[in-house]
Amino acid sequence: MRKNGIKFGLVERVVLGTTLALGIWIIGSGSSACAAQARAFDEKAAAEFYRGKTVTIVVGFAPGGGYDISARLIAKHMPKHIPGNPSVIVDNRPGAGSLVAANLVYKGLRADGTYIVTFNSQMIMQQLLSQQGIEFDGRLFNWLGSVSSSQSACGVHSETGITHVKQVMGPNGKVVNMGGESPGSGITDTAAVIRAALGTKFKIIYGYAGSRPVANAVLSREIDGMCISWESFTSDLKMFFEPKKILNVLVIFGSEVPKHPWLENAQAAEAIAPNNDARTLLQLVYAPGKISFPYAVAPAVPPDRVATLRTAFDKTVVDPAFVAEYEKYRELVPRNGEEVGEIVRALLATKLNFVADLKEALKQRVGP
Amino acid sequence: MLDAFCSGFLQVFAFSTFSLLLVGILIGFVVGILPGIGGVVTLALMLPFAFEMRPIDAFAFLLGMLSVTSTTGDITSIIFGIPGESISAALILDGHPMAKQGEAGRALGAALMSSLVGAIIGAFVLAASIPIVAPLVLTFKSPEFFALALLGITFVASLSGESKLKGMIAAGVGLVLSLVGLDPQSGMPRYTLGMATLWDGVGLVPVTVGLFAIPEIVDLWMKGTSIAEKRIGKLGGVWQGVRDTFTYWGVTVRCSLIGTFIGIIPGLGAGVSQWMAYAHAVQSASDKSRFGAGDVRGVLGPGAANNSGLGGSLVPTIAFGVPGTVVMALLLGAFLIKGLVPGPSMLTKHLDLTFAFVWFIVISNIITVMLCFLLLEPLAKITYVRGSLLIPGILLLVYLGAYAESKSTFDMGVTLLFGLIGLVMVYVEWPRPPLILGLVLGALIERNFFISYEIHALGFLLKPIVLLILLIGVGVLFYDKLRNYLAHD
Repeated sequence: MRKNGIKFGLVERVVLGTTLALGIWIIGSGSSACAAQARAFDEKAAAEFYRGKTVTIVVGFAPGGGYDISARLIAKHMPKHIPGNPSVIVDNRPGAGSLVAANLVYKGLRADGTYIVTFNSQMIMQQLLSQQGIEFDGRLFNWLGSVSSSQSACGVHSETGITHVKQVMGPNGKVVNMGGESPGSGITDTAAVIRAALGTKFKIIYGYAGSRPVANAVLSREIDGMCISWESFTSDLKMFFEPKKILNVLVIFGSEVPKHPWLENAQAAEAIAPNNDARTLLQLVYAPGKISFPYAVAPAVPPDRVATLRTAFDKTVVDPAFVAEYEKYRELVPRNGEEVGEIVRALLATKLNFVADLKEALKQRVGP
Repeated sequence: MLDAFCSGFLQVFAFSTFSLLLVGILIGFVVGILPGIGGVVTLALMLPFAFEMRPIDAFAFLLGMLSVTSTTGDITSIIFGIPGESISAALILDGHPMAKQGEAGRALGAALMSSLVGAIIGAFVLAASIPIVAPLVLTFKSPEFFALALLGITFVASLSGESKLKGMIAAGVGLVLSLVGLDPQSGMPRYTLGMATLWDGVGLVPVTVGLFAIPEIVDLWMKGTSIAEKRIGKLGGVWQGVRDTFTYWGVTVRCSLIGTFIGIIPGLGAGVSQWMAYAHAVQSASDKSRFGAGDVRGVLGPGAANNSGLGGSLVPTIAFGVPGTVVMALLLGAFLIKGLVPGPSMLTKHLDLTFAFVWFIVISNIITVMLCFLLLEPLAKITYVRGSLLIPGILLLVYLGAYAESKSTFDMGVTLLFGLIGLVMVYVEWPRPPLILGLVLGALIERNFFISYEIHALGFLLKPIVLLILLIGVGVLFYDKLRNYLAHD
């Protein structure tokens, strides 16, 4: 220990003083922003409100993924469509598969219409299944719209010799190892639901650290195949099809197979479902995929600002500059806020017996 | 082949390519020095800019940036004892004690030179191995990853200094911490105290920064001096450090190869290889007494390994589209956006581009190291500045770093908590690196054990490569005993 205690010279005092002043300024500016009042506005007043402000898109994932890239493109093109032309920035708040961000914005992080959130639409499914940690009600979010639609598909490595889904169905069907993350993730639950609805002999291998490690494991033939959105197969996981096609897509969600050379032997899940219950189960799980990359603001945001942002969102997704740039990255399938809200409400109104079936399907660890 | 090698070299110096390389280097330089803000976040943030560029320019920009972060991250680790990057943490163990003894210049010289050597070795392994690496990458599956991660744990012995038992316990604490989060098998939250923030586990960055930086800051404050307690020579021996790199040539080269090899294998990365390299440096030394107190070999090993990893990890990414780390997954995104399909075409049609990657890594490292040598004097002088002047700034950087990764104030709390734990550990003389290693490897061990068990039951333990790696592990554990035994015989 020192005997003399700490002595501050002039320079130290200046440095400490500056640091303190900076801190006070940061705290001060933060709280004055929080105090921004919510009053009743018309369209012109909304312009007045947004002028000079910064609108933040909170992304529930780390930078670099699909959610982030899509949000950054929207942030680039949206300002000119919001009255008052505020600047729009992206704030990544990763955590718990975007649950942290969804909870944060729902609970009213600046519920004045300057905070937009984008999170995994599968979270709505988690709400339906009353999973832990969900602190929001999807029906009450003010949805602005969504920009993508994902249709999950399951495929196996061509070295398995399996080219048709029939080969993995029924009593003589071949058992295939399908890769999964932890239960509750999209790729795991998709495989589980296909197995429950169609009776495919999928053995799900849980525990991979993400869709990329699962794909690597398929490539190295540690496992036989995987289920993931068709959009991922055609973008991030293109290596399964180019330069050489080494993955046979067996089944794809929905009632018909999209026309695509890589899908020549694939079957539409709903078309081969054995009965109505199975079909309902498949439709249920497909629903959140229809509103991939959704955007929403908190329930407490004043209605006219919601209307302002919805209009701006609708204009952005048809803006030719945005469309051109977005389609370079992946296919744009926009839906407006009304549509997204309807799909969410319909999903959350699912009859309880189906919810129980779904829970049962997802709980199974070994196939039929 | 030679054509492509040369044309790759020439392409680097096209005006737009070279200037974007320089911009990338500049960004990487700053990012590397700032603690917490790592290569992953920066690459992700810069990716949209790369959308607009020509493919070769985009990769000049991105690789220039990536090549530099681990080099300049080492600087922060040495001078302040704060990991500038999470892959630079191992540099603190000997680099910072050297800075305290006034040898900042020597440590920096050694770190920079070994970084350069590591990067060049990694880059040329990339160039040489692309055609022949396929079997290696595809034979490494979950059982082999499990065995490798277990092998990593055996290095705890070398990271523990005098007390192996304390090291084991610290590693055990790290392993337990790695259990926090969603259980990868059942998806149920485990030890998360009801907080969704903890679903993804305890963050490596806040733990590392807290554990290493806070005790240093407190120490600096208590002493009331500058970081360097005494002055040696003009610059604390920069050239001595450069010479050390070549004096201990074996350590530098072997650690570069460790970094490259771990980089090639998907899933591990420099977060692991830096510790393995450090442990190797300790283990291969006949006189271990100065490790942890400022042995230059403890700087050379991780300095070389964290830089050679980039070349290594590019191998599977380019050759198969199998990205081993998050950084590589992001880079692969850039590939796809640029319309390049990883795989054989990168070795035929786009071979010159592949070789340009090699040159980007080499050239940006050379530029960075030269730049650093120019800046060494002011950098090393920071260690002579009074501590009370530095502390506010360092604290700001520490908390900024802790906050930056997930933007949660929770992580700042984690930093503070582990700062306190770190202080206690320093006070009672418990080694801190094993805790970090346990945290890094715990999740890998758990995941790969269960996946291997699901697929092969316990039979996976008998696979040849698994057996080989486990045997190496046993060898590492008993190496010292064996050597002593033989010496006494």
